[in-house]
Amino acid sequence: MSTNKSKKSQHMLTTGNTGASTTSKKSHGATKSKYGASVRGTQYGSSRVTVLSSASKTRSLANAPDAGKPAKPPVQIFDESGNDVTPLPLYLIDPTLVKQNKSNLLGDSSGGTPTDLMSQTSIYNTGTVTASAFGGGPFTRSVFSQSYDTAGESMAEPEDTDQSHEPTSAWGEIRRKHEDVKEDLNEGDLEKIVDLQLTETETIWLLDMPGICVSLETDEAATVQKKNEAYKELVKNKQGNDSYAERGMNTFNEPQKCKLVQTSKIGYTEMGVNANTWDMFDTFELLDKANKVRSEDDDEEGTISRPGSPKEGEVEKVDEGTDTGPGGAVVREKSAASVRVDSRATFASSFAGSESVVASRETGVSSMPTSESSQIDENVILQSEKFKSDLFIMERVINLNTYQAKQALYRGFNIIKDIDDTTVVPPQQLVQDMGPNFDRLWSYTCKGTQGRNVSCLSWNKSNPDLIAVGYGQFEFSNQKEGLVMCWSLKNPEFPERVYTCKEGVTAADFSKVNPSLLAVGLYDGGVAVYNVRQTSDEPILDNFLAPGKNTAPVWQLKWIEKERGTGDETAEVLVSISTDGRVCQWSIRKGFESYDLMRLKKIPTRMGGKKEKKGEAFISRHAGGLCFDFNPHDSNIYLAGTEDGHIHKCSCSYNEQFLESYFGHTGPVYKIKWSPFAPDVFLSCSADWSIRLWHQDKVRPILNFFSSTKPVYDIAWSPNSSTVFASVNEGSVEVWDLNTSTLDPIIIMEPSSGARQTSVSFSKNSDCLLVGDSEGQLTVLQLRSMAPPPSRDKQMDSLLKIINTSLSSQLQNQSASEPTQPEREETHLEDDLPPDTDQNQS
Amino acid sequence: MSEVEETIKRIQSHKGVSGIIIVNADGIPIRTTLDNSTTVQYSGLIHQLAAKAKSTVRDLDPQNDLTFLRIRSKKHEIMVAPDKEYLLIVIQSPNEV
Repeated sequence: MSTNKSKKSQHMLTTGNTGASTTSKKSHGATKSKYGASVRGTQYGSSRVTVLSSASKTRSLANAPDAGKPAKPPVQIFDESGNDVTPLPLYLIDPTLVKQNKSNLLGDSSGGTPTDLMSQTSIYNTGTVTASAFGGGPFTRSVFSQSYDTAGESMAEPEDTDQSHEPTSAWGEIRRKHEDVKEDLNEGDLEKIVDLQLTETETIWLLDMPGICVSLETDEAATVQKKNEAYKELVKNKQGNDSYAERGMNTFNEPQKCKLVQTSKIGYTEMGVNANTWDMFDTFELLDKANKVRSEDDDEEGTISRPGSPKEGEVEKVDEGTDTGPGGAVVREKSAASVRVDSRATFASSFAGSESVVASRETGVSSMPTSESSQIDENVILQSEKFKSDLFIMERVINLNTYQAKQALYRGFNIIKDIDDTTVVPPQQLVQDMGPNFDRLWSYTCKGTQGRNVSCLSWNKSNPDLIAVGYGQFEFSNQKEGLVMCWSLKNPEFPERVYTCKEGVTAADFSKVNPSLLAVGLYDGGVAVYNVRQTSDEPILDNFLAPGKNTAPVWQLKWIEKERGTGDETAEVLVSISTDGRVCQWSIRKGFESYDLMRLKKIPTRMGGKKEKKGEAFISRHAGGLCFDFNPHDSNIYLAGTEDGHIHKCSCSYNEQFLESYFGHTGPVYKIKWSPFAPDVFLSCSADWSIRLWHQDKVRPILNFFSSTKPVYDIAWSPNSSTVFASVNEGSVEVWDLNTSTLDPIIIMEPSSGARQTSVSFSKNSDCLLVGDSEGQLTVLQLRSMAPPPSRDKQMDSLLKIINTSLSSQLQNQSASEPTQPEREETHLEDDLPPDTDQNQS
Repeated sequence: MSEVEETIKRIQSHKGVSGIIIVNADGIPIRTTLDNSTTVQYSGLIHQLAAKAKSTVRDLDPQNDLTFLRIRSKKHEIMVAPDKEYLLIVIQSPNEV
């Protein structure tokens, strides 16, 4: 490649000497101009270092002649003293190169040269750019202008050649420098990453003739118009004019080089998301919650009513059904969402933890595990609260599937036969024909209850599907650890709660005022209160260490609402009766405080007639109490049944004396129950195989029921019908209906298991009976085809009517058999009682 | 924790229950009483169905949410308790005596 030096910017001296040198040059210039290339150099700046590109050192001369550069060897300037003061040009042009160029210039009279030069210039220009690293700065030179204005500097070859020497030296230096730099490059540098700065060069104006617009009205208008017309003439004359030759030019087509770059593969993935309505809703919720929590952090309590986001404003602020915590925020339309957040915040027990609040939205309680469960940690899932509750529901559902028919019966629904049930059901005989009977629905039993004796039953006062069952042996000999289980109707397979006690459980009762409190009486006389909301096995209160504790088994417990003497509020107290002869009242205000309501004293009874008991010495003055019942209408009066067989009517106001005593039973009285319909009538059952019906005013029982030769453990009045009651004796379950018969029960059922039936209770929301036995089974029996109960207002009357009839018949009997003592039964005499045998009814 | 285990055991031993499957959010069964292929099949299919059901419920009312899903068929009943992190599936044949 020919590296031609380019003439660089000249000093302005050029102009001065132009006159001198141009003459000589002019000829050349003329010849030069033949080539149509006259250089018109616009020198920018001065004395710039020629920038040599490492790639190509094409330099084009085409420069304004530096006539101001004398001191070529032929032209030497000597001063007076003969020193050679020829000013050296800054640029040293390689003479060889220039000569080459020169020959090109002169010899090649084609239009190629200028183009050559042009191209070289252009290349040079590109070179300029790259070589700017040398710090010379971009050198801008004007390119040859194709102006027709040939005046001005023209190229001077000889000068060029001559000039070339000087530049050569200078070039040499520079080049040397350049080469110095080059020498420093070595193999390692080849690998170096070279930073190339690409900048835009300054615009090179090839021709800048801005048009001038002149208004027609000015003075110049005439001249301008003239000029225009002259120009037009010129243009016209140009055609075919000899002084004008048209020349066409071709520029070299620069060889194109293709540069390929390879990058590592750009991976593409497509992601698509569907946004549902609820997706958007959720997002809004989250945003809103975050906002609200943040605002709560600033304010103390969350009763701000921030205007909700527009989306929320449209949507009703109803809690989704997840728990609303105890956060008591104002429930207004706008701040309802803040209520939700409050509850979340208080639930998560942190106002500052906004993330946990936000996260807990979905899962309720388990806020932390939500974020962590991205790890596949099964323990986390299994332990989460939500999982527990889901399991619970699932279990219920499964049970429901299995027991669906029975439960429907319990509730009194009609069973719809399962459409997919392919089993063929044999035609059953009509149930109605059989008369009143039982239908065994299911029984509550589980592994833990095997072999345990059901000692007591208590329905929950607020949830009629929940029943508490106490398990404990009656006999002294066979004591085991006691159990209290809470069974629910919806799950006959497993109890909802299990509490173990160290002693056998003999009594249990749910509280009315606080329906989650369950009081349990134990065989050793202790009373414990459990909160069934908790599943822990600990009682929340117990009186094991209290001084007033009963020293003998607590046979009955009841929560009684008493009216305080002074105030008007009814407080609930627990009353217990036990074999140590004391009826104790426990209040649970602070701990367990006891107060003896009554000491049951033994009363001598003369069996009259045959045997005379004269003041036998008592071992203990106390009679063991086995049961009691408070009058439903007057909570001050209660009945207590003793081991002696006596029933005493007592009042809470007197704790020394009985108001009344009822004699009739010859064995320990196991249960006493007031009738729910008739305020003066009560029923008692005892180990003497009998059940007796009493009237409050009569010392002697009105009706006696003997149905078996086994002790009767439990009785229960039916809540629906005043004349119906159920009794359970060792071998069978019996239901009596006084309307139908006072001699025999209408239903007797002997369970096949052979276990002793020990407790019975009617269910409140269904016509079913629950019977517990000594094997730990609690059976649910449905009463069918019972006589319809009398209407509500008639209940009492019907019972009283029966009583009256029996009384009158008694009287008749009495009067018939012993006319001498007509009114004996009517009096309240405590001594000289007629023998029991008179009490038998016809 | 043991309470949960006990409940799972009880459910397993309940009358008519063929199997219980617990699947986590990624579709991997954590606990199952059926064989592997059945489990995988159930979990995959039920997962989709539960998601669709949930989407339906929420589309109708965004404040609502799916709590329980029961599919009754001739032979079985499949009960699904869906949640964000897991899926609890129980298969019962209630017609068995």
